[in-house]
Amino acid sequence: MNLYKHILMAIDTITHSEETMDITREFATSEGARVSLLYTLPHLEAKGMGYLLPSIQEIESRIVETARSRLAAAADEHELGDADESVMLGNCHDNILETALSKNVDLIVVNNDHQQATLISDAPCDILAVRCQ
Amino acid sequence: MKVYQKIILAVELDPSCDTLTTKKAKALADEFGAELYLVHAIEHMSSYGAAYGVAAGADIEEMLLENASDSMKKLGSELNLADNHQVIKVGPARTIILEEADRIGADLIVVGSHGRHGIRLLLGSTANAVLHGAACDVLAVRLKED
Repeated sequence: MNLYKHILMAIDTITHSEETMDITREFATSEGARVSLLYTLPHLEAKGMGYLLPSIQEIESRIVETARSRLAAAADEHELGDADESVMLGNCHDNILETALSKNVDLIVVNNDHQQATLISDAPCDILAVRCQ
Repeated sequence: MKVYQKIILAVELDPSCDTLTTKKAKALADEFGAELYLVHAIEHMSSYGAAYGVAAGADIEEMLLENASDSMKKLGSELNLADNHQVIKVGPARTIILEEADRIGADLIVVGSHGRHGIRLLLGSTANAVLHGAACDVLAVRLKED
């Protein structure tokens, strides 16, 4: 097709992203496109815990480590093992845009349960929202 | 894996908006062996022109429908689509697109990210509404803002 050269799949859940991963793989295969996977999670501080306790950073480190393992396993399972994988904590929308811009992607694939309103307005490229069961 | 079987493309019947979305929808349909459908919505005109003392109404809609039909036939012909794969209806774009997608059993809706009527706050409102209401996947194609 030659429509897309670099596809970014951005998810905030592994469990409910099966279809999104499959579609990403199919598009990448058809296009011969490079794939980046982004798993984005909120900071613990967003839930009001703050950084008063030194263990919060330790907890977040462990969360990121676990998230990386889960993402890697899911990527292998869905034949996306060659993709660049990253986990980011923070604002989901900002993380997606930052990654899309820095990696110069031309298609962002998300679950269709996202807050796409501002993503559509702000994204530098096409967005494919996948309806997941 | 059969990815998509029925793709519906929302068109503005304006080449400045449709060229890119059409190209991508057609490429996806060809790649995945999917049927391609076109849908165009003509917004109700009953309230337009009232501020200028112009009685816009059914006759204006009829004229728009006729113009739209001509443009749709031309585009449909270029894409080699059957008549029943080209739909024009009067009503809110978001409603028409979702209803038609549902009617034909579409598994992918392709829509431009921004319409040609560039009121800043409304940019992307149709694409957003389609995304939130769709029962299938939606591809929002990035268009340049007016």
